[in-house]
Amino acid sequence: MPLHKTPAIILNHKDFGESDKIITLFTYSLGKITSIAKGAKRSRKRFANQLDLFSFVRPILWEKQHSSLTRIDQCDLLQPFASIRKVPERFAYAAYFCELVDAWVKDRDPHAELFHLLLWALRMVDHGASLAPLSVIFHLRLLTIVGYAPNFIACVTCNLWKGGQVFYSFNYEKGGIVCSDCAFNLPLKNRLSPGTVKLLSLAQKTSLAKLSRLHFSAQPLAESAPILENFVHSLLGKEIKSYRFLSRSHECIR
Amino acid sequence: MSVFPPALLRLIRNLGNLPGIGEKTAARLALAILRWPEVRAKELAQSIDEVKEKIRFCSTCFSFTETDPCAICADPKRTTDAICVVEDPGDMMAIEKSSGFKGRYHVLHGVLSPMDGVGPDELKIKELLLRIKSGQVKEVILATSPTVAGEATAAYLAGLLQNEYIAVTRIACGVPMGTDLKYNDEMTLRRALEARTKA
Repeated sequence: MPLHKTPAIILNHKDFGESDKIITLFTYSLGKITSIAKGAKRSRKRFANQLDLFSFVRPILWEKQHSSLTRIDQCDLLQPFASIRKVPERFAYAAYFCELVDAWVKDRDPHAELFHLLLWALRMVDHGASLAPLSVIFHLRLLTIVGYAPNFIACVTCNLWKGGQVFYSFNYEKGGIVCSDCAFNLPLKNRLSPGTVKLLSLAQKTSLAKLSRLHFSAQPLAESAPILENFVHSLLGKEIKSYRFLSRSHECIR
Repeated sequence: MSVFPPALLRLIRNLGNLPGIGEKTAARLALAILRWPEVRAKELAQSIDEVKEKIRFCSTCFSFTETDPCAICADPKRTTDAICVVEDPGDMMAIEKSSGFKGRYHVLHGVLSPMDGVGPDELKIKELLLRIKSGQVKEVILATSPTVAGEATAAYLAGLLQNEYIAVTRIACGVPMGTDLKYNDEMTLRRALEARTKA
């Protein structure tokens, strides 16, 4: 029975039976795994506060032969992100980010870059960063990491960079910007101003440590957020329940 | 071909639908029921039937009841100016056992859970607001669990109720009775210090 000790983020959990919990973990070295924590609902000794949503933990995982389900015997809490729970909007965004990662990654497929992105995003949410720009950056970096980086360098139809354009459009099928000459049949709502394109291109390349310095004003946010969200969701091809919650609750929460 | 007759298989399948019951446990329970005297088995069937027929939500607090309003809402000795908001009827029973609260309850039937598609509309929040608007309530005690989802739900409710002219309080979180202080985790200790009271 192999034993693993690896940093992990708790993506989701479900009650199982009288006192157990099934935990979905995004681990650094094993990727996404599902684990059972025996007695987690009752035991204050072994898992007090450690197996709650979004927590950054270091569990000790036992692998069983012929079973995809690992067993958590012990867990160290590295960062509980205690501020997320105090603000409903932060809670909604943290849940959305975790669900997106859960939907993108396959079981047991380690992805260090994605792990760092999620950890960074949860830290930013916990520290009270502006959530709408954070969400745009998260979508953009997620797409880049999983191999669907949107092309903001040249028109995806004519392959040319045309400066001095009044607007660009976004083509979901080709995953990039289209110059105004080639964008005659694209809907108006897919439009991006040159300033937004420049900002998104910069956000794609900047290191995570420096990303918080980027400033998204209202216009780039309004233009890019729906496009990136739709692009991610169309690639996923399945419903993200937290997104529905976010959209529905925005008015009440704000 | 299955080794069990169809009627037994049906029972196993139905018991297997219960939360936390797998196929093996369902088979064990079904075989136990089969071995019971007929009277006992019929009593079980009757109690399931009765539960579905008689139990409903109390139209005031939304806990399970046979009569509407429930015994707690109909009790004239209980104060009407304090409402304790809980996640489910189980939490209400736990608080009742403590005998520490003599007001009324409101059962939300869950907590906000974006990943399960549970938003404010899926909980009994509108009904709580209506109760508060009736004007008798002076204090709302938010007694959701101190989990991430429970705390976020409490924060959401506190935000909704901030403009109402009532006191909104949250149950204290901290060191459990009878434990050694040094064995408590950092977060519990921090919350215990935040919720300290005058000795």
